[in-house]
Amino acid sequence: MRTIWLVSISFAAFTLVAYLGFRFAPPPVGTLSTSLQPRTESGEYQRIVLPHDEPQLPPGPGRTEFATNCIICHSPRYVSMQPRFPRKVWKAEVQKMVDAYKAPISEHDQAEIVNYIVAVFGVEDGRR
Amino acid sequence: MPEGMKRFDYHRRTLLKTVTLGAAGFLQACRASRDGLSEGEQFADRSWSSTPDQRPLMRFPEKAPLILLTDRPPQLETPLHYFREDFTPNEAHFVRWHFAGIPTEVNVAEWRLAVTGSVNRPLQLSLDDLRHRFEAVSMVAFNQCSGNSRGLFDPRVPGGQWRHGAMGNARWTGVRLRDVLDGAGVRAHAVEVAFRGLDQPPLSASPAFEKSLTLDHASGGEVMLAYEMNGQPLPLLNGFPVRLIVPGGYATYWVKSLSLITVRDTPLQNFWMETAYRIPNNPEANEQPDHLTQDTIPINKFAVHSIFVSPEPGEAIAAAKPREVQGLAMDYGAGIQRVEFSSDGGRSWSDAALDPELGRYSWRRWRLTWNPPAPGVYRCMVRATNRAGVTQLQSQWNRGGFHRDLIEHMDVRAI
Repeated sequence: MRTIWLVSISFAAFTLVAYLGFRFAPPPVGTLSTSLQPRTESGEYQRIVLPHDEPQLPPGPGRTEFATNCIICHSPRYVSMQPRFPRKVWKAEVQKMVDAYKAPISEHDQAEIVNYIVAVFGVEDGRR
Repeated sequence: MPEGMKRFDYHRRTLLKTVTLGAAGFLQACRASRDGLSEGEQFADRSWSSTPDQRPLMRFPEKAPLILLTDRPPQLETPLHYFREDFTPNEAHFVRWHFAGIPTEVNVAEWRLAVTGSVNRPLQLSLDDLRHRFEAVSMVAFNQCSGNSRGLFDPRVPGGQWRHGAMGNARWTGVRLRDVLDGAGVRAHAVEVAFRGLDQPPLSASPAFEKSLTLDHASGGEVMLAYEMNGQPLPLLNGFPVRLIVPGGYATYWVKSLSLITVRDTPLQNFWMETAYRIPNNPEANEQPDHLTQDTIPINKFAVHSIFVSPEPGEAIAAAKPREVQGLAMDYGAGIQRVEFSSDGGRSWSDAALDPELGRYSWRRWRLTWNPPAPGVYRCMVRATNRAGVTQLQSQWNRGGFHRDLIEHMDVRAI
């Protein structure tokens, strides 16, 4: 009987110490730890096929300019995911495509693109 | 630009226009009868401001269905429920690329990582070289887009309209960048290390995506070249075969599908360092919409921030019944020390319990039991503080929608 008690108490103490040790262990020291053996595959080959889900372009003034300039480089979702920004914000965005990303868009087309985005996704005035 | 190249560009552009017009027409014809939705409904996702997340999901290769921001190039947000797990599954880790020319095919037998520039021994490393010539290390590190939560800025700002899902936590395995730089022998006058991946801009004139770290940061021993994410090769959309891990720093520096490391004697001056990804030069990354600051710096360390994971926005809960509220808190590596919760719009706060730390650069889970006493709408808020005493702001805004450190709130309905 005494042996059973001793064993039980030792087990309980061990469990408590292990729990406390885990629960209140100091944060891991050093941020890097050596991993397991590196794996040794060779001849790995990765290939994926990207799906597209590009939204329809609603009719509106400047739709052709939008379709022929903007979606060469990116999905129209770059525009359709935005909230309804005012004209000045869209003008700056189109200007950024030209200045920063070097999109070769004529001034005429830039103006038409802004018109289209404002008509379909934006507002003329307002807080940004 | 030489005349010949100009002409080439012109012809290429005309061709591209024709092809794109044709393709767009074809795609639209294919889709015209789809779903029976009206044109407007198919196109604009304007239900955005409602509380529950009704944005469309889309499945990409090697990925679970994720919230679709853009499809070309892919920008995919992790649905909130995945953040109930401490380690974000690889298939759910967010995706963000800058240019449509992303790598869709990598033959590891041919892939090489070049280490060049101001070094004594330029290297061409294969994946096997990385695995066998350098010590393998692993680290838990939280990753987050610079513009995570941009869609919640008020006033709204243009850019990827993320909520809180442009982030994830993972165990990364690979090699120390320092060891690779030591292998190449950095020369005495070097000041920076720059990184490029396999992605290509759609126009040759667009600025190629390249980011740099100071030499001290790059060779400090924490920055890694990771070839495994949670014990598996990285999904291609997350940077297979090797991506840079910059613990505690925004994901814009975690260059994916690395191909070129250049040790530099001068700071990198390009669009991606000098114009994009810049924040106001103050600790809170704060400025006023009508007084934009001229003084900006490249975004760098993560903000101190915290979010709700459960309940989710729009989820009604039972009144007069205790339930667990939980979420995540994160910082740049000093460590989260305290998270406080308010259910009365910030008038009173109580401490949440923190789960054990998973690593210095991990996020940290917080939870507490909350008993909304009666039916009604409760404005819940959460505020984290790190060991350096940095906490969150009552109001914050900047034009880029970067470095979110605002105290988040959520109106929870108890019924």
